[in-house]
Amino acid sequence: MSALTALLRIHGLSKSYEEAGQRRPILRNVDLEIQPGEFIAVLGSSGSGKSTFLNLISGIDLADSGEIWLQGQNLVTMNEAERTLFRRNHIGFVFQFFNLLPTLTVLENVTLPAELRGTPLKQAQARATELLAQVGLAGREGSFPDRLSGGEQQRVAIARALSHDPLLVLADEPTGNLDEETGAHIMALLEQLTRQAGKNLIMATHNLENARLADRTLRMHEGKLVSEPARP
Amino acid sequence: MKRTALAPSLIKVGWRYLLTHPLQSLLMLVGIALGVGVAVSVDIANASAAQAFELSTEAVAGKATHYISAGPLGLDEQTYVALRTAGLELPMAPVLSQLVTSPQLGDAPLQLMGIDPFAEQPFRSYLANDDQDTPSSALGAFYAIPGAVLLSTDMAEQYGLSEGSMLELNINGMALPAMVAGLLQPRDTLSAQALQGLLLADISTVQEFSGRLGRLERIDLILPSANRDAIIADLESRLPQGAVLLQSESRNQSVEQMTTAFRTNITALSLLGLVVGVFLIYNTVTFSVVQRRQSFGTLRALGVSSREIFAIVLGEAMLVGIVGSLIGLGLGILMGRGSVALVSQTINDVFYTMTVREVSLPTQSLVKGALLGMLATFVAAIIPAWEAAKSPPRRTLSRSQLESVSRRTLAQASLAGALLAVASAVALARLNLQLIPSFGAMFGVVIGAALVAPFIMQVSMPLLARVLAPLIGPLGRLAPREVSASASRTSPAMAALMVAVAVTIGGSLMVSSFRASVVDWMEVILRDDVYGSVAGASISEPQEAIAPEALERLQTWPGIEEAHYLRNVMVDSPYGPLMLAANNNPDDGEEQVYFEAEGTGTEVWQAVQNGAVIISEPLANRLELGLGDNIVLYTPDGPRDFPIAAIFSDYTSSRGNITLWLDNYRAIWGDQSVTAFSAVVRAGTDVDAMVAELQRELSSEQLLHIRSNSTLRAESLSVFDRTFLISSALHIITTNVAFVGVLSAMLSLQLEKQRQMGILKAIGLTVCQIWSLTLLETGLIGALSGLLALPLGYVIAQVLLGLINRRSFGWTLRMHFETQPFAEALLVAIAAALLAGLYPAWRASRRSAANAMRFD
Repeated sequence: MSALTALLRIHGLSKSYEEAGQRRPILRNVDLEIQPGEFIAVLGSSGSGKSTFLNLISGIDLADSGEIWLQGQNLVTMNEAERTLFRRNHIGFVFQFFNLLPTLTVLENVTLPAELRGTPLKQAQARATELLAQVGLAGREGSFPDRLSGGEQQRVAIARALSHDPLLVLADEPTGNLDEETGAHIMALLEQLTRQAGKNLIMATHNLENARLADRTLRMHEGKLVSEPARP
Repeated sequence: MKRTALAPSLIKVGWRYLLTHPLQSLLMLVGIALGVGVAVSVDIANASAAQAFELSTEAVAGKATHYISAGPLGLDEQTYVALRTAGLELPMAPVLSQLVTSPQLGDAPLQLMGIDPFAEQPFRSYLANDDQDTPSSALGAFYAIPGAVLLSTDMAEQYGLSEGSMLELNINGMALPAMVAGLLQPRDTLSAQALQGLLLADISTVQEFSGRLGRLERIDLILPSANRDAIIADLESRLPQGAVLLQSESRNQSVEQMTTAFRTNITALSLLGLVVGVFLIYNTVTFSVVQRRQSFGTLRALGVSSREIFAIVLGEAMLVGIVGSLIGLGLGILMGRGSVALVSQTINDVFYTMTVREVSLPTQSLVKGALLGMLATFVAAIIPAWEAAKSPPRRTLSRSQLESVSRRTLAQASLAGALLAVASAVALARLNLQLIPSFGAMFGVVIGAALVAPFIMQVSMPLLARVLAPLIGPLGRLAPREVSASASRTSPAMAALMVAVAVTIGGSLMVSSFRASVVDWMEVILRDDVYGSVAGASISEPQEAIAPEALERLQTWPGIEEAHYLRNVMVDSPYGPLMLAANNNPDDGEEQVYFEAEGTGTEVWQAVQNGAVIISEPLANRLELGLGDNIVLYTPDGPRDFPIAAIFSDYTSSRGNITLWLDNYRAIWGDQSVTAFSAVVRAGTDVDAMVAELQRELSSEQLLHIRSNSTLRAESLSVFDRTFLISSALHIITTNVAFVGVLSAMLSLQLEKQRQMGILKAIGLTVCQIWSLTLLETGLIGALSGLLALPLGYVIAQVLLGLINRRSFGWTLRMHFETQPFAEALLVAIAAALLAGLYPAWRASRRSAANAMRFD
């Protein structure tokens, strides 16, 4: 597959943080290309820079150097407001700690990204209801997040990540806060829905079982992103 | 697609937070509502007083542009006749007024105004026959029946009177019969208010009642603007010796200036309540941002822009601000009634007799109050809203980074605060600021100090932890560290409490210093044993004449060694009417506290006996006159210069007065009246018994009020204390707002720390220790606020005493340092903080460890 058809192209990406007066490099000159519809798993131990990598791709954080091209737009040259709009329109997020908004109902949480994108409310609600049914939460639309279990909250988060039809879904340890069985269900659901919607998924995880579902597995090691050999 | 409005779900994020945190929202509402309520109530009181002043001026002066006056004895009524028949074709009306009280009219001071109904129409609207305001039958009775008076229908209704009702009027201590001859039907609310406190009678009736037969107080005139100078010259050429033609507006200008200063003072005090409220709002909004850092982080990650986060935070604060302001308006209207009573009482005691029965509800006050509340909310919420908005998504997610941002902001704010405080202090010390800029600079010092206070807390708490840990164990280490580590929430609460307590100290110290000055001053000036004046007259400047028979009897009263007379009277001058106090006490030179004098007291008094005058400090300040200058007064012989021999301290009135020798006054003005007397009694005489006897014997014809030296002092001090009631009330409300602030901050802290409290419980902290820890934290905030408030309170008192009082009322007051206000304020701060900690401590102690730890 050629670079011309790539959905995401990352070149020479570096990031470091200051710690006790010294710069600690997190990412060193990372290069990556992702083709449309691809599911990538990024493996690595805690503190290896997986979350930082996702934050840079989403524009939440800024790289020290390098380029991030998504659908012909370079995130690195965008200002804060442009990155926010970009994230609003093209990125879906699934967090380890679900991060649902406690003051919004399940339906409102899922509707919000589409609303932000400017989708008419009725249309956004219809899409959200459909997604909630797909994640098995039909009938729970009016509940507030504190009434849901961890697994249910993460299902809402998955529905939210897809509700505004993003180009790319980023999942940061999506099962890290769930028991094994629930985690497996959630992972299956995430994979199924993103593939079904034809979306790209980049998932940071340290769970090898989850990584097995990906089309490609990369490992973050000493700030470099290296390809894992294909597993049987 | 570019969006301009907030998504409906984002709006829900804001207002549902308010609904799910009812206590926080309620406390913020209370803070705004109290702040706005106080400001509105004071504004309503001020507006009502100002309107009453304007209306009474309008009622008395009407549309007159000028008036002719002739000093204490008034004008001969023949002057009016002569002018009327001179073919001048100018509207003119004679007036003779008199203060009266009546048991049938609530014993409140009323203005009995003697007029000529046929001349009135162009001047005062209430007798306009063409509008059918007054029934012609009433006007008939007005002339025909002796003692006939007219009053408004509102007053008649208020006191259950009707046409034909009999009244007893107390004039100069004498009870005289009068009759309601008719009722004036005001054409609108304003006319109704103008007529409150006013009785009308034919001029001959008032002449008879006041014993001034054939005399007029003044002749009102309406002079056309065209060719006015020529008309004035013509009129002046026709006036008899001693009569002067003056502008009507000059009569009320000085009183208006002084009451404006008084109103500015209480407005400033009420605004301080709102300043404290601003800290409270800031505190609540900051907490709401801190508590939702994760939600905001998520929103930012989902693509919500910083502008939208800013709008959410500011929007919800403004929502509470609007509701709080509306409640505040209601509260202000309710409190307005009480404030009107306090303000009008002070104005009556200190400035002039005024009736404020109507509480005006000016739209302007309500709009101003609502805008103030919203502006205060906006100012208080904008920083936390901006901080929530500017944080990048990752940082919004991190609590520790938020606190570190907060600490950095505190450091910057402290630096800005220090600069503001120093600049304001320099401006106060070096620049000759007027009243409102002086208040502005004082606010600058207060707000600057409030911004520096959190920095001091950051520095002092770790040190305190070192001191307390060995004394009371781990709680002694934990509590100060918690206070310091949660700076984003504890700082505003501490600053608010510090400001409130400092204002209370400043106010108390100012009042106690002022009171001590008055006590010291009375010690010097009140040396006689017995004092007397006409009953119902002003305690400090009685102007009602005492019957000569009573004075004759006093002179020869057994046990009286020496009697002194005083004549208080307003005389006209180029500066407007001025109060003269002429006395014949040969030792008065020694019985004054001089601010500036040429020579000793005896020498000064010698000069006074030779024709000089001494003037009080407020008058010297107001007219910018000094030692060696002359003061011009209109006398029956025309304008006359009086050399100023001394400037003396005087707390009788902020209008100021001129003291001169009684014989000189009598010789110049030809007025033999005496309005007060004092007497020295022989040693060994029972003063109280003599006072009782004099009161009984001398009051047979004219009711006098005779007091002993100690009673007069006690009465004077009670008037003084009454004057400052409104200030004390405002201080109490300000402290209450601060209390709500601390309560809100402590609740926020405890909610934030539920997980930590759970851990502490899990590792073995007892319920009692949870209580101790919480109360220790609030107690530390209270103690530090109280301690920092001490120097700030002292500075506020210095500014109030040295600058504000001088600018407002012309008095220079010295600080009488007392430890009591400081000790009380420190206790109030600690008690308020401890009290605010009770509920959070109770909540923390009741929550189970397991539940608390689940909280995130």
